[in-house]
Amino acid sequence: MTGPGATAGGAGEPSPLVGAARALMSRAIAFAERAGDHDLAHRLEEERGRDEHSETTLVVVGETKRGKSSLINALLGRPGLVPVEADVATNVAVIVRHGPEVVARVVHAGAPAGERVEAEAIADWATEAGNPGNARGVELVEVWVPDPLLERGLAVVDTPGVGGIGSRHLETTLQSLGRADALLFVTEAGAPVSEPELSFLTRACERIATAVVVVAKVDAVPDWRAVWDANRRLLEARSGPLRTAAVLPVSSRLKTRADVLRDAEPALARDLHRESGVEALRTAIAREVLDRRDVIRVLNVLRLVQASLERLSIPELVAVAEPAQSDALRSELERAQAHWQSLGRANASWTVELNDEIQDLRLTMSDELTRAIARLGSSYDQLLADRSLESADVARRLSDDLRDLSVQTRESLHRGVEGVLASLAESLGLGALGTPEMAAPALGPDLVELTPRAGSAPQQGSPPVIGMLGPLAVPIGLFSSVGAYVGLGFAAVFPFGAAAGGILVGLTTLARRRNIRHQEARAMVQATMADASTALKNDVARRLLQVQRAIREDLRAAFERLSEDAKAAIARQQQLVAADRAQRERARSAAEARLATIRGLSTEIDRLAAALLAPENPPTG
Amino acid sequence: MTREGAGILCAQVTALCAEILADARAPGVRQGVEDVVANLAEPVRVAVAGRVSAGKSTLVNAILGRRIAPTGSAETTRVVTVFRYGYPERVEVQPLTGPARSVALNRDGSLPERLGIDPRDIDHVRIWLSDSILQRLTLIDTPGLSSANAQTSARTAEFLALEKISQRAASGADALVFVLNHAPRRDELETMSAFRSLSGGTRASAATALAVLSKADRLDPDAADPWLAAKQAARRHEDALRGVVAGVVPVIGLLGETAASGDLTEQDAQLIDRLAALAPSELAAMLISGDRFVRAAAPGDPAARERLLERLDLFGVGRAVGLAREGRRGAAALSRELLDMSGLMVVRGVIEDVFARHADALKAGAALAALDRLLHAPDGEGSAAEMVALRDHLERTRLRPEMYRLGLLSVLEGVAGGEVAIAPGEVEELRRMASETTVWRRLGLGEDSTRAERAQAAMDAARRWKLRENDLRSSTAEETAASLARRSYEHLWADLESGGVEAA
Repeated sequence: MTGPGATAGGAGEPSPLVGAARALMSRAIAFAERAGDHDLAHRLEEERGRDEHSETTLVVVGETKRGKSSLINALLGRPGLVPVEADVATNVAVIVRHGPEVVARVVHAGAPAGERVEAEAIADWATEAGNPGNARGVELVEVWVPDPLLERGLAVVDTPGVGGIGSRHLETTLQSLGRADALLFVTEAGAPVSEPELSFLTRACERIATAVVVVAKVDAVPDWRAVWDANRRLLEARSGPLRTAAVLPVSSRLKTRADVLRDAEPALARDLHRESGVEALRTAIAREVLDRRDVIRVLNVLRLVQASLERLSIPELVAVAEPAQSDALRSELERAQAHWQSLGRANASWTVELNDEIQDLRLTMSDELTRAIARLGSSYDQLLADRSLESADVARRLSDDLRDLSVQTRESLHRGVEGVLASLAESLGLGALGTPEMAAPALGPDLVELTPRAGSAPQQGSPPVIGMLGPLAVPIGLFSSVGAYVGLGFAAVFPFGAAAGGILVGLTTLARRRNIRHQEARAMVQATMADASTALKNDVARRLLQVQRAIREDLRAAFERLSEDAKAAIARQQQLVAADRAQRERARSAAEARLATIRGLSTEIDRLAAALLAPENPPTG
Repeated sequence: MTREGAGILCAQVTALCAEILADARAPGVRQGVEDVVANLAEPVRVAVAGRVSAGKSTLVNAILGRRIAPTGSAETTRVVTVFRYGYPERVEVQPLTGPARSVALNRDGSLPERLGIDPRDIDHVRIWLSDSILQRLTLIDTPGLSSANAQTSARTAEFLALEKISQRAASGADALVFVLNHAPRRDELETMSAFRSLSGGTRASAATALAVLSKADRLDPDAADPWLAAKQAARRHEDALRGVVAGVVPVIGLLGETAASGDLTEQDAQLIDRLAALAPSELAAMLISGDRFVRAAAPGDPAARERLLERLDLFGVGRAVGLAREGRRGAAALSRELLDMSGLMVVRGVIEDVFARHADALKAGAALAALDRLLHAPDGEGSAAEMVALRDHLERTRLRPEMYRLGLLSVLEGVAGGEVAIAPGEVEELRRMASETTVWRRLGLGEDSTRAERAQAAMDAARRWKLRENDLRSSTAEETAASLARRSYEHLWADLESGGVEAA
């Protein structure tokens, strides 16, 4: 709250506190020069030279659709001055100043002269509805209206709301507050001030030491007093200027209605005006902002100095806590760590991808087999129909065909696994990991002893052997070879080894019986085919399971090896970094000394700010 | 409508849990999985969340048709409250540590203000009520989010498992009703998105969230038709939240609460009658603000008027007086009309429709996500080898063709959200494929179709989607959708060919 002393200094000699603040500022400027931050020194100089009698800027902030624009209209008693509709959101700052008559001007980016517009047309420039996404490139809308409060040198700024989904980020809004002298923060009676609102206000008050908080829309909420109390308690629990901020219940709607009814129903209008709380708000603005403008300005400048000092202190702090590493070393270490992380990501995803790929392959192959068997089946239907063949020939031919099919299936499986390996390598980024290319081992000769010859019995004891297709062009060296995967246990069962019983019975019966009936032959062929189909499908599935296991093992091992390498690389880099750190430790003491200076100045600022804010602040300090 | 929690997907996940329980040793993991099993057996759990004073408890009371949870403009709900179906009606307070304690409801059926335990030490409160809606959904009232009292919001975030550091593997809810008062804020969007990604992690999300614009009457008090303004606002918010919630529905929560809970007494109705006798201009001047209405020199004592205002708010009082002028007399008649006006039944219907219809997918998706978190917990109890083995169960279940339904549902949500552009006929086809239970219905065939016809239909459809998948003009989202559809059909075909389970 404000003491009588705080108003001193408006004219004549500045109060001692203000004088002390100026002296402190000079020291800060000198320090900034010494620290080599000429930009900062220049900015502080500029701030120091700012005209004491320039206008005082009150910026109205709050979440979107809290009623900021309505509040300004109500505050100035001008319904419809700043556009307010249910679905209209202000998206460009609107600054309202005192002028003899209502005039509006639009300032475009890069054209400071501005363009005169009708006051009724502001919505076309400053709202999301009239100027979506600010496509018209408006920087600012300026409005002048006659008003005694504004005439005292007050400028009121309406801002786009914060916190909405499409609205600007907190930082942008905070920066745009620029030279605000005080804040008018708008909250709503419907609910206590929220955490995002409170943290915005706290951040804003780091720069701007004075805030008036409004609880708006009290007309619509019967128990607004509960929220008002809750908000005051929440603010009192905060530190700094928020603790003492005035919190005022206001109804812009009642005030606007009073303004509209002023001539038609003067008595009701007077009541509504009083009940709206707007008059109390105007008084509070005069008392908290205009009467204390010098103190406010000094406080804000001190905050600016303090924030700037903090910024200056950051490199010093970094130097003290952890001497800077040379860029090359750091980026090397980062690269090693990024590599390690990308390994981790790939490692986390491959099981699922492998499963997906194998599953897909199984389905595709099953589909192919079904079609191939169907084609074969219909060709035998024709063959048996013309009865030109001996059943033994049919059996031989069928045996050959099935053998061909099994070879085709084997090749197709082979290609499929190759595809899986390639796609895994690509999606896991293994190619980029730079593993050495390994030559695929050459495999045994192509020994083909497929099915037993027609007429002979299955030979469980000496299984036929299938060799692999020579050396393979494996897409990446990581996998030892496609052949190794597909060949696992190939010889033992492919294609009808262990499961051959039924098929062979069919074939041998076919081969032995000369006078077999057409229907019977057909049924046997069909049964043989169905069994072959099942056996092949089962075999493919089993084999894929083995392939999957083998790939899994290989990948697991590979990832282990790669991560060992990566860990070693990180350790190496860390050693280099540590050596570098030791070398730079010497810079530390110098940094500490400068930091002490900064902290000293900052402490003095705190003390001074507390004195300026203190209610009993005596003029003689 | 019947309970649909125990559908195909839930059955799969329940079976998966049994597999995991057969192998799991670590007590923490076992406990977590048993919790998941217990959740699967319950109706779909719908959490009502939102900022402080958004009207969450009011909405819960309105849906339950009685004023059981405390409401007000400041922070009133400090503990998570779970409303379940059960008889006799009873209350249990579950402390953070130790056994649950029974508490009696107040004589008027409301929850006692003091629960005998410091709210900070309460994990949640369970209330069993015999309202029929609770047979279909379990409702959960939560403390306000984005509260300036950090502790309040932390409780809700923890319960819903919104935060990564959460101790819980399972979210306490399968679906979310988010209560809004205004255009959605960034923090609100973040909460809704976080909840969605909880189930999105498993590619399983039907519509898991719905937004309710709860104080529709306060949006534009001077509008000729506040409902029109509310509907327009809801549409705008729906655009802003596309892909995050299934929709935005406006409601006048307080009016619904009062009308549905029969809280409007004959005294209130008489006061409304007397107000109706006033000159329209006099009444209008009273209804400008809450303070004016209570303080005005008018019929009834201020306390009675304050009570009426608490029950109906300014808009409701205005409408009730209007109804009285039209000749509606008595609390019952007024309540009926006000209930209509509140839009409550629409919201109730939408909540049931959106959530109960997708209960199977919602519950299965939430359960899978919970298992995922449980088995991938970085500091889990089980040994590394044990966890790897358990995760194998999870992965295998996820690869089961039935689980593609979850993916299809999420595609459908993408369609609704405008992210995936496919023709309405195809949407219907995918919906069939995702949610029908018999093979012939899934394929859109008759019951008398042969297995061969079904297999052919599945193969044809798979080919059709394959073309779509390879179409260069398709967007990535459409390719993903087409690929999922193709795989679903291929699996169905493979099952039909091999005489698998689904073909039965």
